[in-house]
Amino acid sequence: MSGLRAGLLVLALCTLFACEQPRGDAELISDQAAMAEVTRIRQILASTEPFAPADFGKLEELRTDYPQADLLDDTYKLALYRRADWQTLEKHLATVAPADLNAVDAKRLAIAYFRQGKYAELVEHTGLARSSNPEDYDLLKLQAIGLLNTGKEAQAAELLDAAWEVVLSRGDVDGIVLRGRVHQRLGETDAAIEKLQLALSLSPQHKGALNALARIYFAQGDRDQAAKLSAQAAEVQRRATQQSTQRLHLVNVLSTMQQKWEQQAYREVIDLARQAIDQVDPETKQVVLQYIIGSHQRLGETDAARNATKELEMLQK
Amino acid sequence: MIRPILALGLLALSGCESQVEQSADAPTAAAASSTIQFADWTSESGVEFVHVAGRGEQKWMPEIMGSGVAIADFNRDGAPDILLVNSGDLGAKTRRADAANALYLNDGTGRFSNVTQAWNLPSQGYGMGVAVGDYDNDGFPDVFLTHFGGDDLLLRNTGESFVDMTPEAGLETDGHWSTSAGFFDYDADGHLDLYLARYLRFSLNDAPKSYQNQVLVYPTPLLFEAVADRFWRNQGDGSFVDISAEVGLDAAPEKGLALAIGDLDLDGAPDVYVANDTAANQLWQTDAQASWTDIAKLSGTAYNEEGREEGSMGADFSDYDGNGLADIAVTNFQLEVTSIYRQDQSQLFSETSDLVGVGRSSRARLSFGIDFFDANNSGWEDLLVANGHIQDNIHLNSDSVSFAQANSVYENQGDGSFVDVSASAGDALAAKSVSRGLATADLDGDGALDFVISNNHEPAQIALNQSEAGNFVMLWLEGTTSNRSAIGARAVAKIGDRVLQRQVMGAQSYLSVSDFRLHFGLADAELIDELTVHWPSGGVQRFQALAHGQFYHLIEGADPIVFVPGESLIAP
Repeated sequence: MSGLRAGLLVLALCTLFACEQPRGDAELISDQAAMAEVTRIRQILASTEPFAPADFGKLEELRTDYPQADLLDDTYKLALYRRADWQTLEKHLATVAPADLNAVDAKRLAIAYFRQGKYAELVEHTGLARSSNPEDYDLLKLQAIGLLNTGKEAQAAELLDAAWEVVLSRGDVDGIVLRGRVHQRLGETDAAIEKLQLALSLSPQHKGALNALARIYFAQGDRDQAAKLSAQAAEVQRRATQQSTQRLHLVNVLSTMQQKWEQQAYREVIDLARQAIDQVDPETKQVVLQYIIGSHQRLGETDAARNATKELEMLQK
Repeated sequence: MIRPILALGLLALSGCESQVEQSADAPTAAAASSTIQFADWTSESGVEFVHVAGRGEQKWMPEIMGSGVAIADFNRDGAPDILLVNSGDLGAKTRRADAANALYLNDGTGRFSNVTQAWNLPSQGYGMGVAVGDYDNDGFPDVFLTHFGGDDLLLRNTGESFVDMTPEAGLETDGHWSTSAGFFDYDADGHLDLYLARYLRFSLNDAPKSYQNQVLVYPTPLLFEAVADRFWRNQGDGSFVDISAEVGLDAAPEKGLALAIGDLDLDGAPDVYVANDTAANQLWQTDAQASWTDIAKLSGTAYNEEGREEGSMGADFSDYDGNGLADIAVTNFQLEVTSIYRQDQSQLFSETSDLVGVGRSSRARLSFGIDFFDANNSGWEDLLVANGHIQDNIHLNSDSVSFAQANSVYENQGDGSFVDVSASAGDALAAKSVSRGLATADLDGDGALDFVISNNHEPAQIALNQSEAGNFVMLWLEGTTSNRSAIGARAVAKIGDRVLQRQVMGAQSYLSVSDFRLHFGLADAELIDELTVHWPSGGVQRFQALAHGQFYHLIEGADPIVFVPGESLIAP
């Protein structure tokens, strides 16, 4: 049968049985509006911008329209990852046979198990995934974490020891601390201390190492050393919390500024913008300056607007 | 055209850390079979309590946090009664009529009568939690009610009504947000002192907002300053004196939500565990002569196993593995485990949640109230947990997490491990709610422990135990030299080869109080061969051959008296 006749036959059968076109990547790419949306959504997902529920809803619509499009499937997985919706991500990835998962999806599934504390599944999955990606260090570490949390400390130790040169060459402090915790769980106190001290020599502010070491010294009766390390860990935590809090406050100030802008309360916009401007990154600073300029303009304060514009120009240079 | 600031990457920060909280709503493991069964008894119980949270568009934090429940025998008829805390409208000093606190008296069979008005149970401000203890040693358990924005109340129980003693007692509040409270006798003088956990500085006037992916959500505690807890010493004359600074609490503000108070290291001095939200938990070793010492960080009970702070909401103690040392369970945020801090040696704990079978399914829920209780009278204490998310719009940011969640029960396997049997534990565990406070007691006098759960902006739930339960002995301890509530007493039962230990705790769960009576599940055993009671006064008393199926009233220094719950009033 010639190609033309075969095509006509398919067309006729499709007409007869009302079958749908595959609606895959080819159709998606030819739909300019849809592609523009996909591109926009992927840009958001590749950035640190918030991924709004409306954008997720739009992605769901596109997936309905183009159910066979691999590009949308990949975008969906990125979106679930961004939303930290581990259960849905796991379910979605589980529709593919484990052996057929590509390396990226294999790692995504491992992280989904890890974040849900499904350690038995994590151990099984990483074991399988590593058979086709034996050099993947992330999978190895996740497998070790899974083994530790399922009470298979000896296997975790074996795994980490086999990769110890890699751990060291990468300077992976978390990996070293993990090995220290495995020693600790196995009652190998001296070895645990050695690993945790090694971690601290590379990263003196590593909170996990400080805390673990403090507890070991406390258990050994060395209360002074324990208290010293514990205080160090608390200070590290205090600073981290302070930074988080400052960032969250900044978010709050900028959100309020946006609301005031929408309410045309320009004087308050300027006040809030000036509160925030020294704490934001250069890109955000430019946007904040635009709010200041716009507010001054709407208040008829041309000199102030001009000065703010100069600030913006300086920044752009 | 100005690019809206909300589109900027910086604002993604509002969706980070504690605000990123998605996971499964229900455990994915197949439902484990269990003999533990709970039936929803709410409609038959006569308890018609609906919590009013006053939730609004502003997403003010207190709206999502309440409230608590207390179970205690308020009228001394031997049957545990129920006091439910309501909330109302934020900022209102006067409580609206449909948001009143409520007191229900038990007839001994699990049927309750609302006596709120007859007992003059007051309602004011925005209610949070409740503590119970006989602070004046008159034989009737008194009540302390906590609130957002001060307004805390000390209510003296006369046996037939409550009298507000707050001003006379000197328990003046400073307007901050009180959460859980607990009575205990820290200096062993026979008078109950009062610990008050406090949360954070929250003002209705300028409360900062949190956004998760551009959606306004209830704010993260990280945005707020912690408020120091308070501790009052009972002077024995009906008044209290604030000694928070003396014991060191003033210098250690964290964001306290829950308390567990008992003796962890068996040194006779109460230990106070404070579950703090997004801050290190605290474990205070109390000392009557000096300032207290927080050993949480060194003992391994401040953080998770990786050394990170968690969003801790509830706490309880139990020697769940029978090694003679009480362990600690702490409920946490979604995607964080319900921590099981196992006490391996005195004052040395390991976080074992994943290893003992609690971690996985607890990550799939956001948990508040918690109680170790022996649901099937096996002698091993099981674990009951109240769940419910804090974001009423969580569905916008997750397809797999819901606001209302089912509560959890974990069956203790007797080998140091637990199995989540929630899915097969009866209709009381099937319902999805936004649960907060939780308390347990034998409400119907059958020797099996039932539970009451307070749900945020929903009806409270009463659940009766219908498990295939073993034998039991129930003990009502009453101090004479010791404080009358016997808070701080520890009972050690020898049952054949087994040794079981229970404590009368000054506080546990979240905003709530369980019945003080000590419940011993005996499995197939016919009696407790020997019971040793370590009274808070330091006295030790031994009892022989306590028969199963009995409710014993053990008065310090006297012989046991058998009583029938709800049969008659028992004079103090």
